[in-house]
Amino acid sequence: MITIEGLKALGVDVETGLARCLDKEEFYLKLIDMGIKDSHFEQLGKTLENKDYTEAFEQSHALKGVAGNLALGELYDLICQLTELLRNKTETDYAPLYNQIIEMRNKIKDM
Amino acid sequence: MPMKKILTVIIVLLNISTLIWSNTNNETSVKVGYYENEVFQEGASPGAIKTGYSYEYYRKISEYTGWKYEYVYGSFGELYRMLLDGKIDLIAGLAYKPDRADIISYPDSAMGNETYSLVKHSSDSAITANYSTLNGKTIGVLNSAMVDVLQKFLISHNVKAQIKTFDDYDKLFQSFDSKQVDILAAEGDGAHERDNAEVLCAFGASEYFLCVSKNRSDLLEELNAAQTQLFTEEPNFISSLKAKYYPISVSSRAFSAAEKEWISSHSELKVGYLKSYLPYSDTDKNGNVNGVIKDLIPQIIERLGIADLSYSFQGYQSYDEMINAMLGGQVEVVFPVGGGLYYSEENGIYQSNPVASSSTELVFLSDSKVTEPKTFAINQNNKMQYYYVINNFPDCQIVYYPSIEECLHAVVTGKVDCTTINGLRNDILKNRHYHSLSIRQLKISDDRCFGIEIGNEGLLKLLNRGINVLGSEYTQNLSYRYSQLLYHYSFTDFLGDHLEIVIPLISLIILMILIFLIRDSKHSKIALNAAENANRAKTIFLNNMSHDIRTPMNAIVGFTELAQQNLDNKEQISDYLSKISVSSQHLLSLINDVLDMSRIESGSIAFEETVINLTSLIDELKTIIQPEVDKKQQTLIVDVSKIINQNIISDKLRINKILLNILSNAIKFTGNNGTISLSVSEHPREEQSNHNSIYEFRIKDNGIGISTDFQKIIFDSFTRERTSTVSGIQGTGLGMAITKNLVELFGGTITVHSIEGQGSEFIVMIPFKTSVLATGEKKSQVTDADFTGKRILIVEDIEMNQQLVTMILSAYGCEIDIACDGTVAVSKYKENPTGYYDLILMDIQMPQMNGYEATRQIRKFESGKRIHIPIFAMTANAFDEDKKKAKEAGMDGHIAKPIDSELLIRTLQENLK
Repeated sequence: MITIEGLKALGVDVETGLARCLDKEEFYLKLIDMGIKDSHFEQLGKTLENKDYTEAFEQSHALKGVAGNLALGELYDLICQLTELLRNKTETDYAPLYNQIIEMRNKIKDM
Repeated sequence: MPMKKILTVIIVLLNISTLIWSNTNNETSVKVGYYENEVFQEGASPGAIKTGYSYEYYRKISEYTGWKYEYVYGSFGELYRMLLDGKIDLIAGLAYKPDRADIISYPDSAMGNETYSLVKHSSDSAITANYSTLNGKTIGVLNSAMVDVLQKFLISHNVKAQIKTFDDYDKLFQSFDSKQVDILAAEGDGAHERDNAEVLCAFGASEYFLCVSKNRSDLLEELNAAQTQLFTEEPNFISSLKAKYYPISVSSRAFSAAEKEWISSHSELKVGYLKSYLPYSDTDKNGNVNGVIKDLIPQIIERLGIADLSYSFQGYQSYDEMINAMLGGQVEVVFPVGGGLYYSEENGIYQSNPVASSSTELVFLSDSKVTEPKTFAINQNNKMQYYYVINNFPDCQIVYYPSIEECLHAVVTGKVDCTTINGLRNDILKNRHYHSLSIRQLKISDDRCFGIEIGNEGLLKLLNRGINVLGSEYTQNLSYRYSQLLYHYSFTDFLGDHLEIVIPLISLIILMILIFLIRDSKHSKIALNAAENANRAKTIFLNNMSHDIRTPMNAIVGFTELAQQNLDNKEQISDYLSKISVSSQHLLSLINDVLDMSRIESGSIAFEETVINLTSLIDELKTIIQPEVDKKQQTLIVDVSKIINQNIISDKLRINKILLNILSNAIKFTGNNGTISLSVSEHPREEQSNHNSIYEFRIKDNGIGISTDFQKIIFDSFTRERTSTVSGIQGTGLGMAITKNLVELFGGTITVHSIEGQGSEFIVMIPFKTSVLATGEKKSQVTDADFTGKRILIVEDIEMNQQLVTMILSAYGCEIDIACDGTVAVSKYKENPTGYYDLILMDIQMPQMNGYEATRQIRKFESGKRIHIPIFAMTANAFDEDKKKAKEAGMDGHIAKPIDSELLIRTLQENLK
């Protein structure tokens, strides 16, 4: 179960996130649950596999908004890195970065 | 004429003994029963355009009777009853049946006639045009007058077939399509629009009439008289009307025995064509066939469904050569032939139906006085022209030339009176050297056909069939593709054509070039000077910079070495380190200036707009410079009392930079005990009610001042009045240039007044947007916000984001509506009345339609019809470029993700009024 303490332990900027949700804890946790299960994570994986960097950028960018709004700290930073690489359509092996993102996301999801 | 066939009207023929034709000037109003019937009678409703066989017939009758029609619309059944009741006077398209003749009046002559045909399934090869193959077959026929005709036909040909009658056409056709009957007896060719049907033969014909109500014997008399007169004056009227509306479609008929014989004995069609005869035929520069013939042959083969037949082309220079090649068996068909049937027979050829029916034009010199042309130029390679001319101008004198071009040239030069040209080929006259020629269309047209050797009936019929299938417009339309090849419009032609424009234009261009050359030489001198000046400035700057950079660097290197030598002496090291630190700071500021300047010059600077409280900004500045001021025991006077609106919206860092640059210069160039003052005043703009003021910053000192010469260039890059070596004051020579550039980027101005030795005053005027919001008490302001009754449309595809924004805005009383992408947003906006939404928050990247496009569509729809709705982008893309795009799409602003709820609420406060 996702808890405030658990999030704090994973380096999530809980204060900012809560403030954004007008300090409504339950609501914030509900949003995190919703955001973390967003299908864009999977779609991002597929587009990266297909080297469709234009579409991957769209996916990554959408996730950046999600992670940013939820103040997901490290996950947000990782997604930002990915977004910037994709913005310039950098030819590189995206697998390690994507795996890191999914790992981090699963940590929150499987809390 | 499907509907008409249903009619079986039986009537007694009236004996009209006397015809009294009274030609009165009074118009008689006649009630016409007008029912809808495809091709025959169309436009049976008020206001609809009427066309069709019957309509034209009515109009023609009116020309002879003077009748004025009053149209009554309805189904045939309704109108027929009305005719019987005497409520209407006329109805068209009734067949004659003797037993009903006492209830309706028939005129003496029919208004038209139609053929009855037998139609078979095209797949059914057992039935042929040989009537004996009809024995034992089932023939479907409409229960009508046609039955009698069919029976008579079968008896006369000794055929024993089963006749099955149907009450309406739908059932008959269904039964034919499902092959319950082998043969269909139909009107017209009956097969039209039925792909798998073939017309076998005609078995009879029937007339149909324009019938008159029994009560109107006066009309009947007039009609009879009119028909008689029509027949006398326009004997071809009925047949041409029939040809116009019911052309025979040969295509649906089965191949005849001769055609079948030809197809089975041939695998290739060898086509001969005439060269240099575009758009009909020619050989292109690669030696391949070109022109209409190139497309025509494959099209015919395809449309006839004989795709197994291959084809080849052979071009001939002259008509005679071509005809002889066919008669000699080298090719089997030639194209084009023409010039009249008589010469075709003389040549031993059949002419097919016209491939192209076109006019023939007489070509003569425009200012020629010749009324009756006597001498004709004839292309000796084109016998068609010769045949046509001797047919139509038997007394003329003929002069031969080897090509049409030379014929035309002979006319231009007056060697002959005229020549002729085929109507589709007259684009040739567009060539410039023929501009002095005129054309006149001759009365007798000259068709262009296929030529086939006499006796080759199968091929002739096949080609005729193909020509009919393609239709008369086919070649006409196709010819335009090739006729443009007939003329070549060169650049010199163009010049020649437009001399009256070209000459002044050329003179003008030469004049312009001269002017530019003169100006350019001046300009290049100026430009060169400017470049040299800039270069010189750069060199001086680099020298200064090298010095300026070397000085702190020397200090850093030197003090570092000293520190290393005195590692034991803590105090000493601390002193060195602080000196290193000062030099490093200075070096850093130098580098920052250079970077700032290059950023400004490359235009890549971006403003971060926030709400700034001016008084506190100036307080902060004061804190920064106070130590320097104190060091020189100077007096700093700050006056902010003339500020009306404390809160402005701008880029805090850049404002700081501007003021700091000027203030630190003031401190730098003012001696000990001097006075420096900063006063700020606000001048609200009257015309701009929406929070826009000009703020004036005056920074005054009583320092060393600036020479008049230097005042002129003080704001240029890389300029310093005295080098640091001379002045002992360090600087980059960029400070004022940066300041001026920044001020201008804000849309403001900077001026300087100075007297050497007495001091300087810098005046900066910048327009700022003012804000009603305070910066200090953000929290309370936000909590105070109340948007009850405001409706906001959130356009966002991700549910989590939707919920977050909804929650925040709901907390402030907003009503929320959500659109999950741009298309939904646009339709929601459109379907609700103006003012329904107070504001739109728009995500940028969304499926279906992105935020930019959605905004563009909303703005387009809104334009001129609705009041402007504020639209704010809400996106994680916060680059300047993205903001610019949002603006271009018509958005009012930009809110970055992750969402700053305070900023969001403040934006709403400013935009929801």
